[in-house]
Amino acid sequence: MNAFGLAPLLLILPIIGVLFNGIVGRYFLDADRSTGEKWSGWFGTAMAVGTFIVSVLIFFSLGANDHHAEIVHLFNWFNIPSGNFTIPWAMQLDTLSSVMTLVVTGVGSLIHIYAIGYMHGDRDFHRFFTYLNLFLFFMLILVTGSSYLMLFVGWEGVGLCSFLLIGFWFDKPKGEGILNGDAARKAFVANRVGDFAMILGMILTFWAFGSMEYEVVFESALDLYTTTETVFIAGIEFTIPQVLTGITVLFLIGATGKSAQIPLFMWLPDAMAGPTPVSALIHAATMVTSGIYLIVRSNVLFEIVRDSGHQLFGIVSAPDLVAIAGAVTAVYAGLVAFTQFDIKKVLAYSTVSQLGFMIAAVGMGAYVAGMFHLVTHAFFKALLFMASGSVIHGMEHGHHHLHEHSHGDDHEEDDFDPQDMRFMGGLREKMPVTFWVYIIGSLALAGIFPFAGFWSKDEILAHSAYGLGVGEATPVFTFVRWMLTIGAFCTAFYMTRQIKMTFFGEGRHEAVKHVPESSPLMTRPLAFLAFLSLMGGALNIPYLTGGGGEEASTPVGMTASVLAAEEDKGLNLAFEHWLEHSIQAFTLEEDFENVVGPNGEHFFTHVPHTPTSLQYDIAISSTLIAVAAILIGWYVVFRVWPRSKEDPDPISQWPVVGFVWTFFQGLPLDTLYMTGIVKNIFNPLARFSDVVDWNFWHNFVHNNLIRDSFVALADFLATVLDPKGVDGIVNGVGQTARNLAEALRRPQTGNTGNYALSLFLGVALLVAFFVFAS
Amino acid sequence: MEFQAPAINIAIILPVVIVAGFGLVLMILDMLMEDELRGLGPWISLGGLVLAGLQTIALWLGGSYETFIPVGGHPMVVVDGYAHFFNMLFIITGILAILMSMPYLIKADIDEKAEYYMLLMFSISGMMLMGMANDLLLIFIGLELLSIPLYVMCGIARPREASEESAMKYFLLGAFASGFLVFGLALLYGATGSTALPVVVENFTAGGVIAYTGLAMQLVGLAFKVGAVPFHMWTPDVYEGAPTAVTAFMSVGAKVGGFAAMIRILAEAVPQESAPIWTTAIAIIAAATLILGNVVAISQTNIKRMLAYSSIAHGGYILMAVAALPFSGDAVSASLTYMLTYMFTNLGAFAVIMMVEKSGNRGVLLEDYKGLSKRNLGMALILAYFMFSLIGMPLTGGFIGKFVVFQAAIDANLIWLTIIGVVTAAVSAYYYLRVVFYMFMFDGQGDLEFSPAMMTATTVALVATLAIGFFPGLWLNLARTASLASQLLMAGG
Amino acid sequence: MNVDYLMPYVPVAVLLGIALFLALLLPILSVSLGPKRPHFRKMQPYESGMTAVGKAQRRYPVKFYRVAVLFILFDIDIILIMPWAVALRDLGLFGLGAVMIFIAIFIIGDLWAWKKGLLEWD
Repeated sequence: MNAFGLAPLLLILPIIGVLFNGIVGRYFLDADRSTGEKWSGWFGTAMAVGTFIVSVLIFFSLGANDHHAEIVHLFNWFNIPSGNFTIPWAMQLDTLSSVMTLVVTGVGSLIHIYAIGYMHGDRDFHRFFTYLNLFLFFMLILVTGSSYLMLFVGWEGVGLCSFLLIGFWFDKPKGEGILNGDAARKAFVANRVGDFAMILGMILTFWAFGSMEYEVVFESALDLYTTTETVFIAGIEFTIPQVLTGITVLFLIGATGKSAQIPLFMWLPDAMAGPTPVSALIHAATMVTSGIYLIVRSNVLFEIVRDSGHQLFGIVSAPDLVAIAGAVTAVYAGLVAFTQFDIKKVLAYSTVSQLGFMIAAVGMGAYVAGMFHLVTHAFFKALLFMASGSVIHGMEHGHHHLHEHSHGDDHEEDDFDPQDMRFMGGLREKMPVTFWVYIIGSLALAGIFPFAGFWSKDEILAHSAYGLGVGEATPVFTFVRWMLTIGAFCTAFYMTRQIKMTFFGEGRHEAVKHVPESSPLMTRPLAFLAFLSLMGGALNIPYLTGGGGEEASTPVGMTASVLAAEEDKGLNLAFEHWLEHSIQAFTLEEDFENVVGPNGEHFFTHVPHTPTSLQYDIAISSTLIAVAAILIGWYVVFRVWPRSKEDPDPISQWPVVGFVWTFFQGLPLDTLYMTGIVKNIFNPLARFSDVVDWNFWHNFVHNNLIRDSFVALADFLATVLDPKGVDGIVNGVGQTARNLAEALRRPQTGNTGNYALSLFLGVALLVAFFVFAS
Repeated sequence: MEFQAPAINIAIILPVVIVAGFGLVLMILDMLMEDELRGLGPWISLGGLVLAGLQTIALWLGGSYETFIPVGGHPMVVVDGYAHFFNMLFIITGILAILMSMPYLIKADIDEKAEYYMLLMFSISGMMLMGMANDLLLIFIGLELLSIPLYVMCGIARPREASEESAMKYFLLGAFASGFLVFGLALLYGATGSTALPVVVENFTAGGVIAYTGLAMQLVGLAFKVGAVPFHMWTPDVYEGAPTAVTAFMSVGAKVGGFAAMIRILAEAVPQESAPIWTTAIAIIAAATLILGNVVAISQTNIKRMLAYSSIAHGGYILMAVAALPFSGDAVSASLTYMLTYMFTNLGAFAVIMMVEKSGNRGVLLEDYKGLSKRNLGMALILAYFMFSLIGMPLTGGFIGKFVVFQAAIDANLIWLTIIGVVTAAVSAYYYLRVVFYMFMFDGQGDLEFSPAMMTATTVALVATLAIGFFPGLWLNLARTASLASQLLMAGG
Repeated sequence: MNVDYLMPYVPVAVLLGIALFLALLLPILSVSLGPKRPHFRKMQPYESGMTAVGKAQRRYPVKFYRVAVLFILFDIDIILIMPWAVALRDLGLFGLGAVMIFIAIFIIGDLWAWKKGLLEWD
């Protein structure tokens, strides 16, 4: 018995939200501003919360189902009976997709609530929630699809939503940063490159294995590999490792596009031009992690390539390439983050850097560690983004306040930018809640014990240092290890810099004096995420005993069977136990123990395993590094409090460091890539879309067909229905519950006779039920 | 007819004999001794409980699964893993309750020292009978032995009016409910020709509508004890008026005792083919209990009253597992696990509340929790953790309890009930977090009164809740072994 | 649903139903149809023409209750000892032991109640 049957609701609920907000949202807003906001916002939120509840039920069902995956078949997309060829449209509910749906819908729900507060007063409030729900829909397709095809549909869809949401404020004037529209296009182009690689990879998969269903592909890949058969693609014979190298490298390129890795990472920092809830949801917690999900999902393919030792052009094997790309990105983005002044861009580069950690992890075969970091990162990065949104919100309010009280001579304020940290300082006392959650998020990100980031980051580092099963740590592993260590140093450093610039010292702008704390609608989700950032590490606490290099360097390591035997010993590695039912790489070693190839070879004798006990040397050294970075950062950054925006960061004047600083501030890769390409592609496209969107969609469909009919309904809702019923719901479910509570509590008169009467009525009902039911 | 004196295995009922015997000893002590010696009351009862606990553990480790047959016929008592588990729960509840009562009675100026602990011991022995009973008559006796001391304990803070009122209400309504229980017993006896559960189950179907009516009435009596809607009305008034130490004790002991007997009856005295009928009824009651308990708690301003509604709601979660009994092999162990976590969390929360409370039943409003974090951060954090556990946040014992219960309910295909459970759990966050909010976001005055005994109780509860939250495997195994080593045969899936 | 048990009671049930129906119907009719002219005198309880003295619900001293409880305890004592007495010889030493334990517990309780002043009237 289970709740798998409810799975289609995951897709239906967001679509209801999209339809509601997309079709009628505008007319609600037009009819009555505050009513419209409530309807749009809370309706969208309700749909998100609904998907979360379904995710929770599926989570429990998996537990009740002994963690076995369940494939919910929706319908056949198309079907060619003669060729015995169908492409089913199905949802694969297993422990891996369950983790993703929980993160997506859980963090998503919180961000919906936050967005109601954040987007308050925005002209296109309903449009924002339409996009958010649409994003949720595609993201859930992406993570629950049972084939690469479905994954790709979601993949494209979230890209579209990302594009729409980055450009949400397309008419916002150019401030310090990039125009919203340009940022959106940049994201689109970068993603297009990645998506093209994805398509090629999928086609190659289909040619080689005749299917795009995960289970079929993995099964036949393993089968063909262990029988050392070959496949013919376009008439040319390839061995399986060759084909899979091609596929995995193409998937890697796809992942670098979506997950913002070198060489396709530069769109993400600019994507921060979009509204902050979008940055938190899409560009920190969920969409950008889909590249990691893709690689984890395809773990079998990567492991086959790793096992075969096949190397791309004889230089480097595909999984190693993944690890290297991630590691290099982690350091590069970490360095760039040093130089940024925009509060959100620092976080954006930090996200790129952390995604590098995850990519490096999955490239090394530490699939659980990568997913673990994905989950904890979703908690604390969403927290940081939303907290920075709270800061920006506050700065805008402060600036607004300033304006009101000094009308006339506001020309000197023209260059004010609420996101620029050079204008901030001293916000600690103005926004205590935001400050504290920011501190928690930063400590988690910097990897300080016992915050969530400590556990997940350490697991990755431990894997790179003691990656078990591959024999001696390979040069690639060592390279990754040191790169990631540098990356960890950078992380702690730029977060210290940011906190010092934002919250400490004195306000460097008049506006700071008038900054208010944000509304509870915004701070409550923050507090909740802060709790998760604090405790999230406990998902996968390693064994605290045994540690050290000795046990780790024993070649056997912990195989899946040992892990299984360890089950029920507590919360240790709970996440790993949960995921091992979906990640086949865990069991490859055992499954193929007795399989001998045609030429007498053995397979999968060296599948990497992450050490299961805490590696104290790694843990202590990385903590020390982080602490050192915090101390150095605290000492170095703005040692002399600057009085105004013009005072340069002293770091830029140091001998060698200053040069590096200036170099990275110029965003070398970004400039190289952006000049020319994007604009030339987009000008014609823009014209075309303008015609379609404005003339047809807006003028005709909206104005003439839909609007008039709904204005009446919206009027009705706003004037008749809303003041009574809906206000209750919307002023928080709490209020409704409180009203209900009052009503329910009225029978509680305190009169014993009444109590006895109600007891007797209960008896009568129960007896009557039993009598008639029998 | 020649009468054969049965070979009575006293050892297996020794725990309950010890507890009741120490109650008698306290009675004699209360009669004969001077006031100074009466102060020994709590220590004597603690000693008795520890002895009984050791005996239970010895029996449990001995792996005994035995029945106690007094004089021919069917066994009155079944001492299986299930009974051992409950005996341990009651003994621990008793120990914690005594630790909390010692300083509390002094604070609340309650003088009846030996008397109070005597009543407590009798009540615990009644609870233990509820877990072991294999006969409707014995269940009734256990229930009365559990309840009557509690009625007196509620009123022990006389001449405080609230305390007297709570005792009176509890007594009147409790007697009313017991009446239904006895009536149900009579009907079941009439319909099936026996009060022994194994016989009742054989003749149940033949008993027809009379048997069903009897079952319904039995359920009424037990549902009253566990505070299930619509038999919950007494709970808030009684919990609020009774001395807090008694509230803590009965919010756990009486409820768990009621469930111990309810699960035993439903699993053993009712045949599988009747399952759809009674599970529907229980599921509806569970849903009503969940909704009412969690919703009404929102509008409470007195923390004891709030926890009263919260305990109603927690009863609802256990009822979810009860409704899953015939359809899920994990339902019994799920309910055991839930009760285990509930016991520690609730007792811990009450311990902190007692420290905040002032003499004369003051200091029990939510208002009084304002700024607790500034007065004593440690206590505020501990109470916050208990609140998180009551919500069922991950990494607390409460989460593990809710987790297994939901899983059992889904396993039994009670999806609608699970949805209600999940949603009401989310609603419950509202009022539990309000306590946390008051503690951390406001300023306020007043000191906490510490005492070694109270701190011991708090620490034990906290450590246990943490341990369940962080190392659930051990405890889940414990509950599973206990449920498997019993004759609750329905748990077949 | 097994109705065999209940068949003989069908006439009773019918009678009950009619009685219930009438008992509900007549007051409802009189309340809804009858004229209402309340007057102080009319609201008084009917005491055969006498003026009412005090309220109908009077408070009893709780002492009566204490004695009643004690009575019930001895009652139960008898209920449990009587069967033993009837089967005294058959049950032998085992029965004697059992009943002695029971009586011992009972006596402790009695003594305790005595000591606590339950037997004193004032």
